[in-house]
Amino acid sequence: MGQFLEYVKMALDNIRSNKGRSFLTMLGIIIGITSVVTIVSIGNGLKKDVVDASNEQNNTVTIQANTDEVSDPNVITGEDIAFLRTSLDESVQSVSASSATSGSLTTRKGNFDAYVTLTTPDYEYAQYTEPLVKGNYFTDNDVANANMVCVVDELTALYLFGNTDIVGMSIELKVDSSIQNVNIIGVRKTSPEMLEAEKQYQAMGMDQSISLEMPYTVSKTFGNPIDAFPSVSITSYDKDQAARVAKTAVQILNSRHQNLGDAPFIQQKPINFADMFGSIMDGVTAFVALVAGISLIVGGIGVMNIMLVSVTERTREIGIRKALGAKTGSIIAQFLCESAIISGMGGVIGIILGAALTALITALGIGGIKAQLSFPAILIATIFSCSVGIVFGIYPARKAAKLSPIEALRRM
Amino acid sequence: MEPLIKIENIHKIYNPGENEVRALDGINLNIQKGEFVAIIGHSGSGKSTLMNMLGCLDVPTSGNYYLNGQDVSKLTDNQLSDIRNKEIGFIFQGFNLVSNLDAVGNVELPLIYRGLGKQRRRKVAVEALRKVGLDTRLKHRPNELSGGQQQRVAVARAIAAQPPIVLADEPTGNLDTKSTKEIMEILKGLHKGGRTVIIITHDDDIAGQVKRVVRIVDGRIEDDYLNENLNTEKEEA
Repeated sequence: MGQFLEYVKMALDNIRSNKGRSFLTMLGIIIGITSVVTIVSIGNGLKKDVVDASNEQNNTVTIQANTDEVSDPNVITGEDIAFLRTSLDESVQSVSASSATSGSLTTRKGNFDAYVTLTTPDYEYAQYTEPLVKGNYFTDNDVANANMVCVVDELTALYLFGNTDIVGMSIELKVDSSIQNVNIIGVRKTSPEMLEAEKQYQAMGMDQSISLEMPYTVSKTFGNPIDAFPSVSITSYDKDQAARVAKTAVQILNSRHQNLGDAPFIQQKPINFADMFGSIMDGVTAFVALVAGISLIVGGIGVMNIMLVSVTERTREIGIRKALGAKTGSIIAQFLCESAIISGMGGVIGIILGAALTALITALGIGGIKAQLSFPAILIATIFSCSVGIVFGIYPARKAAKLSPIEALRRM
Repeated sequence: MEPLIKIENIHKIYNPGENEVRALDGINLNIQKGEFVAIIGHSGSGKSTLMNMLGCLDVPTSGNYYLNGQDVSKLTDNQLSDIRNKEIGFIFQGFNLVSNLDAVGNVELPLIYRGLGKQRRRKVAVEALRKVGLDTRLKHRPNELSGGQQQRVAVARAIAAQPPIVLADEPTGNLDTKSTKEIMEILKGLHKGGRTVIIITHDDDIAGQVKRVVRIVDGRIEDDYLNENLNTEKEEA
């Protein structure tokens, strides 16, 4: 150990007395490590964003009929949904099911094609929906009586009437061949993202998005009754409860529909965006980091090159050291320490620069990226840069150690 | 008494075959502990090759070299490194100091390879530099020292580890008259102190100051004699 420190000190002395050259030698390693650390950090940040975003959605579970066992999947009735709402505990925010139809409607602004969501009262709080800004949502009573009422979003209100102050107004809705007067009882907020998307749709020449939400029972009035739904969505306040709630809901539905089989209901497998996108991001990051890593190899060759020059220049010093009792191992250790320290220092500088670059990218918000330093990446970068020094230092070090002291001393 | 250095019929042949060069051609030489020997010869006589053998920098093609009774002619490179480190102090014509180390750093070199700790090494190195009168130049690098001073650093390096043999290859070859005299006085002092000192030189003046002279011609010992009246002469001077 004591001897090892001697070689470290010798190496440091020599690096210090050749500052400019040592720095230039490090440059390749610095650039390589900086790019690897930065790229992995950006990849990390992107992945974390996506994983966080998709984890937020996981508080909603969907239960559906198992299509392997049930021929007609439309088996979840309004009574089932009402029963689930009363049976499930207070951790559940909403139990809803929906179907859809299309129609056309007329206001003083003109004629429009409309997308009609036929649903249950809890749809007010369903996944991906915005809160109501005006009026109220329809109730169980509206469902029971098949009242001709609807809730629209702000965007629809603006299209239909030019303003959103429309609670109490009525519209003429035609579905299939049936025309009904429908009262507007509530207005939902339209999210900024939706407004932005709508702008782009309009620019592409697509139809205006007119959407109505109505009690599903009105389908009977329009002549095409819906009695049951293929699935029910259950949203919990807390995503940790979602899995437990789903299990309970499946049990309840199974026991209410024993005539359909042993276990006719299953939880719909959520598409796991986090895993899917995460592994894609990992792959992309690894690939780009690999490309950047090639610059590390190039940097390592630079280190080897300079070490070879250094061995040639210091032939005499090597001869002196050998004459004074340095063994082959001592000379190898000295030169290996030197190349390892040069590339190790390059690695440390690269990590610092990479961290700075990561912070800068996040601070400037380039592409909205929140880059995140990856500590495994830093660890690997450090080990890798030192190994580059050692691996590429072996050849010059051996060359130095094999010099015969007489030959080495003879050269002036 | 068993001689410190015992060389038996040593040959060193370069390019064996048609154009072979017999640098050493059957050398027999005994040197007792505490002797002061000059090996003298013209360039090409084989004296440098002999010096490389004596210094364990090279191994003979044939023959035996017993140093302190140990046959060193068949040792490996690493074993020779150990012998050089422990038994021999080198002084070279070209000084051979490491240019990016200061005086103390240079003197410490053989002590590092002997495995001495930092504190002890520094103490020994400073003491050796004091002996050659350079204790005011400890932190100077070779290019900040005169030729004579550089050679004195080299002498300090040779004696720091207290080797039994000091081997000087043309130690005054690059020096002016005054520095030559200083270095010779130091070497004589080492001899008086009980060290075995061997000087390789082509200079008869230097050889004239040394008790025993071995003359090499064409790889053979041509002459081996003692300067009988040397001590009185020198004491008068």
